[in-house]
Amino acid sequence: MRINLALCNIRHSLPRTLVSLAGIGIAILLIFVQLGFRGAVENTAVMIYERMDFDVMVRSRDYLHFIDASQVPQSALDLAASAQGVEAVTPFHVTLVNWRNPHNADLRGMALMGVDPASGPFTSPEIAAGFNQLSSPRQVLVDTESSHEFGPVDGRQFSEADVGTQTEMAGQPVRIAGLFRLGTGLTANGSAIISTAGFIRMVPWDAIGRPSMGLVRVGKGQDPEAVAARIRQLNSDARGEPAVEVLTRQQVMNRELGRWIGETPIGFVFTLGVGIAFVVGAAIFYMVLSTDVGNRLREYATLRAMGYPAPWMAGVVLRQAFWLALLAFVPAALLSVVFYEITSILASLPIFMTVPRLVFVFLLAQLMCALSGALALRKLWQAEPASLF
Amino acid sequence: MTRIPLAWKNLTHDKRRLMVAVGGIAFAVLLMFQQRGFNHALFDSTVALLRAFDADLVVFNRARFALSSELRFDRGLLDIARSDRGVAATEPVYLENAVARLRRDGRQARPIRVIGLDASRPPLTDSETVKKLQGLIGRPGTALIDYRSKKNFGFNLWPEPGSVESGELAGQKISVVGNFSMGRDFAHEGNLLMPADDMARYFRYRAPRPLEVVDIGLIRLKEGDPVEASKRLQTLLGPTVSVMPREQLIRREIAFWARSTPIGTIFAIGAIMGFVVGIVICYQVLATDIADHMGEFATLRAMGYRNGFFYRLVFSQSLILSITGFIPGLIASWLLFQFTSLQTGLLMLITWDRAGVILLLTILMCVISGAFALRKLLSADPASLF
Repeated sequence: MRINLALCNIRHSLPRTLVSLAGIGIAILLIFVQLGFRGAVENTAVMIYERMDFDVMVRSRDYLHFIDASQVPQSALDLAASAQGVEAVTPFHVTLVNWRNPHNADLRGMALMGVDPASGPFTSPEIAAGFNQLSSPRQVLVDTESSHEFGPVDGRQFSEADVGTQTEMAGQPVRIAGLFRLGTGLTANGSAIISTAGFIRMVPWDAIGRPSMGLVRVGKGQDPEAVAARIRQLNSDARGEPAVEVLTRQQVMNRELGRWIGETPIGFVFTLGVGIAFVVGAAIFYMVLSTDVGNRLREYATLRAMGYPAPWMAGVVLRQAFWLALLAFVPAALLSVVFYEITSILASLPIFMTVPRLVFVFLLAQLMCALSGALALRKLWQAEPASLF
Repeated sequence: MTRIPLAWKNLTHDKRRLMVAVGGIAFAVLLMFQQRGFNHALFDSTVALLRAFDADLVVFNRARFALSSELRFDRGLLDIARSDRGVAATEPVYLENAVARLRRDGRQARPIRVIGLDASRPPLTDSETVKKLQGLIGRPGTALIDYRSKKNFGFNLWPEPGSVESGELAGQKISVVGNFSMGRDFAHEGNLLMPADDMARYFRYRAPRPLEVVDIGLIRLKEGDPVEASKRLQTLLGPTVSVMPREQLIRREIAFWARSTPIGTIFAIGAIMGFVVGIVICYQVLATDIADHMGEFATLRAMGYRNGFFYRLVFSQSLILSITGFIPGLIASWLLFQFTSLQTGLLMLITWDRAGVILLLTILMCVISGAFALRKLLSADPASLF
């Protein structure tokens, strides 16, 4: 009997319900879209580290972000290697250098990573397999995820057809010896891998005896937290001040995320976008619900005059709000997935739906609808039944 | 004469509903402003440096694909440029960002863009900054800091007159003695402005003599068409550099960032969302209003009022809604822009033309929803109401 009234209200005037659903649906879509954009920033921020194999990182205290990492002395890495529980320490070099487009000779900034071909830092076995193509310090592997502005022969993406191409990096001749697939996210539009020896030849002023970071793998069953603490202690001066920054994998991820979201204009802009979407979404929810309750005010007043208790009527409105939010949520969520697909193609960003986001937006929509419905009901309490006719 | 008051009275009849409607449209306006504003801000900020110069033409290394890529050219070319009959003056601009690290009180060293100009006659349009820079002459080791720089540098961005805050720049002592306005962007977290000859001491790696390689050359013309002059100078200076009107370089720089980052797409999508939100809100208002007054409208139709009357009525209502919604939306956007500018150091500007575009979009949005709502009204059958 009671459930019926809420559903009857929804079914009663279908066109009007559809307008309400469209309004709520748009608000939900808006929130999804903005969360998606912000999520894309988060995804790209740590993309590169997710694909690197390390438990603990040793890096400079002047580290800013992946391609602006500053350097650590090799001696700090050697100390780390001596720590109890450490299985291996791999030096890793990275910097931004100019890459010459082999077709139109334009220069573009590209991330250059110097790795030891014997103990590459990446989790992907395909990337490691490509290392044996690096037989001379003048050879590089290029990322197939790099922007087309670096000049692949087909104008879109580096492929087998580009292998063997001669060009110039940091003003020195290099030859494309192979490919890998990585993606560097927000930090650079493209990347290349070179052997450590090649890296040192290319940017000698930075690299000799000073890697950008040390990647530490801990032994089986070792607690990375404890190992990090030991490395920190080994690298501390007499006053206990560590000369380098030693972080666990999780800390590295959190810091990188914190930097992109909290410190860059892009992060702020997208966070604000999410905030605005919440406010606008709430305003639309309120508009829709208050119009809906307003339209049925006479009916509610009649029921009230007939003696139905206030909580019962509030229950009807809240159930109605629940159904509206639910019915609007399903198409809006489906539309968002389509929308994520389109945006990820148009803007080449990793935008995708996640289950926590679905749950979060669903609960948020329910909460906003319930609050708006409750607010809209105030009109009913204020009004005298008699004055409504 | 009687038409407008009916539209107005219909809307103002229920004050509460009008407030909700205006609020809803204002939010749609805010959303469009915000999305377009971010888009503009990210681009405006990257070219703020170029806009600050007093110059007609710019010269730069042909390979310099963005302002932040440090590819330079030989200063001698500027001397050659001066031999051209149309050239009034040339000025070199020196920039450093990759190796320019600023550190204060043992904090983290952060990269900052250092701008070096001839302090005796700085080629800037802002006379206040010119005066401040001239004040640094004879005070080696001093600089002005952009007050929009990131706070993480640790410097007081609004130094008291006469105060001196010291830090370390590229391994040498530097004192910040004043500020100026520029803005942060994608590539730079802040700016330092100093006399070029002093800057040379900090960046000796610019071999062989630091001031012999120039980042950007500015050219002021005596008269004549900048485009024509730029072609003439391009021939004169040869293929190692590009010569173009300053406005053209500004457009090129914006195009570079628009191409190499996805933000253009993202904010276009955001603005379209705002527009759609506005249509839905506006439709909701107009449709509800029409539904509530169906009886009255049917009566009017029975009395012989023609469809044209109702067209005008609904469009008047749309127009009133769009304008009354736009004004609070504009005010809220302005406040939001101030906040964003404060937080990010981005230049958040509302210009007349940009506000005009949003106003047109707002009107369009309300008119579209008015057209939808009208269909419903015209279906009012006089007979069925009695």
